[in-house]
Amino acid sequence: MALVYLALIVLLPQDKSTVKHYHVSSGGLAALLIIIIVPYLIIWLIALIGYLRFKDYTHAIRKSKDGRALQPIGSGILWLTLWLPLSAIAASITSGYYRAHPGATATMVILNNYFNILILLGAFIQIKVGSRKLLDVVKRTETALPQLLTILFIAFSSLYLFLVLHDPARRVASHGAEVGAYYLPDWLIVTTIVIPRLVTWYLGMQAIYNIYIYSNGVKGPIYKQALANLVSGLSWLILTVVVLRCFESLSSQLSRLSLSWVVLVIYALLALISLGYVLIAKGAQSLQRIEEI
Amino acid sequence: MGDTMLYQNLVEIAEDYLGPSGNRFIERLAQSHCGKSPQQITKKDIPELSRWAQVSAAVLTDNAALVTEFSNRLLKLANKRSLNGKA
Repeated sequence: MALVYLALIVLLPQDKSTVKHYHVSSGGLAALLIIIIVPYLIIWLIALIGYLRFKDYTHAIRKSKDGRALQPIGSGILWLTLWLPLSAIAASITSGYYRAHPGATATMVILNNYFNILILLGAFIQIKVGSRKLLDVVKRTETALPQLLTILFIAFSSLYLFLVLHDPARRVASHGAEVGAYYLPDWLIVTTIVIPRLVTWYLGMQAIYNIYIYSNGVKGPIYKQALANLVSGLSWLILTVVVLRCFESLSSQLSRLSLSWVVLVIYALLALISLGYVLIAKGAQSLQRIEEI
Repeated sequence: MGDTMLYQNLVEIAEDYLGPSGNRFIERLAQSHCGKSPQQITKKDIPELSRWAQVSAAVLTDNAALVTEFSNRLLKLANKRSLNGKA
């Protein structure tokens, strides 16, 4: 997938609007893409290693109750891991296509948006299902998020909806954005984009909460010590993917920022995501050691 | 003949330290160090199991007091007259 992505970056025509928008030369844009892509590829590799460590551990304990609960979480992590390169490849293909065929811009943007929503929704459903099964291991039932978190989520959802519906470039390219964000009427944006995204993020929050309840309820200080990194990694990964997706979906508003800010924010988010995978790999490795001695 | 109650007590103690991995831990110790299935473990096997549990737990944590406590609790099972919780 990394090779496919690199090939697409090299072979597809350069985005002239980006060159114009950020006042960089074609050579400068190529250098910039390499600067962004190299850490991106490193992060994919870290994500893949994190997932493989987690898979090794869950495979070793697959017949036990906790192993059966961690299997769907593993599938969810796999989809989150694949989502990183798949979303980049899908974005390159769709943007490459509409640059060559401007008439297809709306269709390509819509396809790209739904593609991302489906992958993340699938991944978060799997993680939520697994986190629910983890509660069975400690004989606890799933409870709703605490009141404060629910209020924060409602506030965040309202703010997000406000930002999406106040994006002047949501239906057509405007206000400096070269491409529209959704090319859909508002009612379709709300029902098929915003609501599924909020549902996805809510599932992620509930999964974090379930995993937290599990880690508090489970016995064994030695096990808990090894579990700590895995729990932090999973929670961090879910949280950063939500923030990254939120950031990407508001990119037309953020396109007003200077180039250095955009690059800085992308780097920061990618670094934060890779930290989640590093913690998952470390946690899975510690838990695996318990199964090997 | 092994003692199912003895095995259950071993697992309960192991789970107090190793959580859900406790059951699998005792199974592995029984098979690799006593050459028995977990249900075939007898009181005579406990000192060996306790020793290996100490060695293994020391690899997993730096908390020496916890490791000793784990090992001692397993060892105490060998001296218990009844294994239904009463000594």
